[in-house]
Amino acid sequence: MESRVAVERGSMEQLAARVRALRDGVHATAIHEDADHALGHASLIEAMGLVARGVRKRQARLVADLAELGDHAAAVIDEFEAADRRLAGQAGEPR
Amino acid sequence: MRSSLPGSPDGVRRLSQQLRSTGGEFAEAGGEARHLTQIASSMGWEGAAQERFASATTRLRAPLQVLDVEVRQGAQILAQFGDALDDLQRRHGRTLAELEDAQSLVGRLKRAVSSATTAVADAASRVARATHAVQDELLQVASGLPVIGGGADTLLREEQRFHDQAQRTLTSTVRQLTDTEHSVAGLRRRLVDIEDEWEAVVRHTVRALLSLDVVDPADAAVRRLLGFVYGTADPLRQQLRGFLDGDPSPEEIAIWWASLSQKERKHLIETEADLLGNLNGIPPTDRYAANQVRINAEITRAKAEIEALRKKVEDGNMFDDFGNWVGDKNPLTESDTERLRWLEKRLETLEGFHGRKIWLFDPSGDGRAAEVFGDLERAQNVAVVVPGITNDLSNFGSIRGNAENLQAMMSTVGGPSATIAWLGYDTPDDAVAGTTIGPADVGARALRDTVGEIRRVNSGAFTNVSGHSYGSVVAGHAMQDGLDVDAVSVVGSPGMGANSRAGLGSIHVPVYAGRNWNDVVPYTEAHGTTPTSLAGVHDFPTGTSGHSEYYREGSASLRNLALIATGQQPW
Repeated sequence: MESRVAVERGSMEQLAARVRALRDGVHATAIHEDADHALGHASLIEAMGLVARGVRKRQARLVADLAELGDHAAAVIDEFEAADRRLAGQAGEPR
Repeated sequence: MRSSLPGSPDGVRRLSQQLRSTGGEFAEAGGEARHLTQIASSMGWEGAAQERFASATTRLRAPLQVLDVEVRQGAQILAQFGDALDDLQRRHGRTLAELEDAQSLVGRLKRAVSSATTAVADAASRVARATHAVQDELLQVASGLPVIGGGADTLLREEQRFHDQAQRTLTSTVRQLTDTEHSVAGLRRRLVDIEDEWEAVVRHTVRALLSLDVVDPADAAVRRLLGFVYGTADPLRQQLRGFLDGDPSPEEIAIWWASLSQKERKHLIETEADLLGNLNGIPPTDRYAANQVRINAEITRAKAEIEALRKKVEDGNMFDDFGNWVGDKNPLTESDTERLRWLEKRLETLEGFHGRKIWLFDPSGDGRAAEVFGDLERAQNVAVVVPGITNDLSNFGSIRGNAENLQAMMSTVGGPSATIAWLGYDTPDDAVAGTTIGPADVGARALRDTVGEIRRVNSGAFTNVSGHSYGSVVAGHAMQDGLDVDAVSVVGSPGMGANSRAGLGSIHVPVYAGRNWNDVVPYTEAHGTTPTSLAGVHDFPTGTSGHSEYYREGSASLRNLALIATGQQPW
């Protein structure tokens, strides 16, 4: 039982790491607005700016969601640690 | 006119590529989120924290997917804009180069005309000198004096030849100059068209970008940009234009229109009459109101142009100190006079539309219009009167007269009725053009469209199309593509585009035909067998004379047309 908890905690820690990596990846994604010359029309540049702004807003929300997910993962790991401690306290007792 | 169209197609494509790869990153992140959910559910642990974790991973997937789709759509919009910009810039550049060449040719030709004019003048004075020499020789001969030198007539012939040659060169250079100046004007127009096309592409692209879900519609910039896209800052007008951009069906238009308040509908009728006047799906009474707005605007335009032309005459007249007219320094050209006459006639027609139920109005070119008599939405019988050749807005009165007569007779013999005087197509300008089928094809499409809308607003009415002369050709072509009416009647028909009833199509629709014994048009059979000779077509007596009396008040022909239009058998 003790070893199963350890295995699951290990997997959860890996998962938490993946969540962090995903958060960093989403955070790095951005639309560059340096397109004025290419688009060549003020209204088009402004519309593209709105698209970029919209995408950035959603990205920010996603990053916040991923941070929350990281917190949930940490909470799960805490639960595993508590289970570990409980199991260690019960060691040697007949079950 | 611009020296070039701004923007860089390659830059736009790079931007599109960048968006696409951003979309790809979101897609990968979405895949990873899905994977997290799978792992979380397969591990087998339980508890509140695990549940929160699993539900948070599930919630992540949807926004990531939306971002992926939206960003890729943005990439697609930009890619299309890049391609269009590329094409427009190439065409603009090519046309500009052609214009520069043509303009420099105009310069060269102007110089050539100037030297050719000098050459002609020189040659003319040499001809004059040689003519004098010939006259001198003749005088010497007449006076019996010995001729000194001689050969003046040979020299005159030679000079005359040089003069003729110089004159020919001048004429051909002037012609070349005129042609080149025309092509310069054409190239300038083409450049303006390309620039307009670019503006339209930009508007389309801005509209497409604004329609992406990632754009916050509450952002103040969105309203400003929609003003650019739809050419108005008025949100209701933007709404209408945006709605029509989606190419809605008449049924959808009717539902949307009904969803507006009366105040909103009134506002749109006053401000967007051009969009609403001929729009199927808009209730007839609102179409009439919108067309009155358009007619008033057209009257104002026509009056202003007439006034400008008349002022040109007044400003051009010169009087001496005693008030006597002594000349005209600014006379109207032949085309001015023609235009003035045309405008005065057009104004008369337009003023005649005041307060009438104009269901269709298009002042461009020869003009199109349809006027309704009776209540189109509640009538038991509806007839559409289709006129023939040489009809346009300027003689709409005669088309109206026929329809009014039919309307009165239909109401007498068949109860509540409505009739449409339908000049819904550009009729052939003369008898020769009347032997072609182009106008009939265009007219047939418009007629089917009209009948479709009549069915939509009054599905229970007995619906009849009544074609006179070339109008019967229009009806025949419409039948061949399926015309949803209860009866078709034709008079004075040169054929309906088929040599058998089966060839006419719409086989369930009864067809009635009448002709006067002395009407020459049916004899021409310019559009196939005249329908009175077709088996399967019911002919009826007319009792009138010539080609233009079929709708005459009190005639058997009018009574029979009314009986047919109200679902009864003619005499």
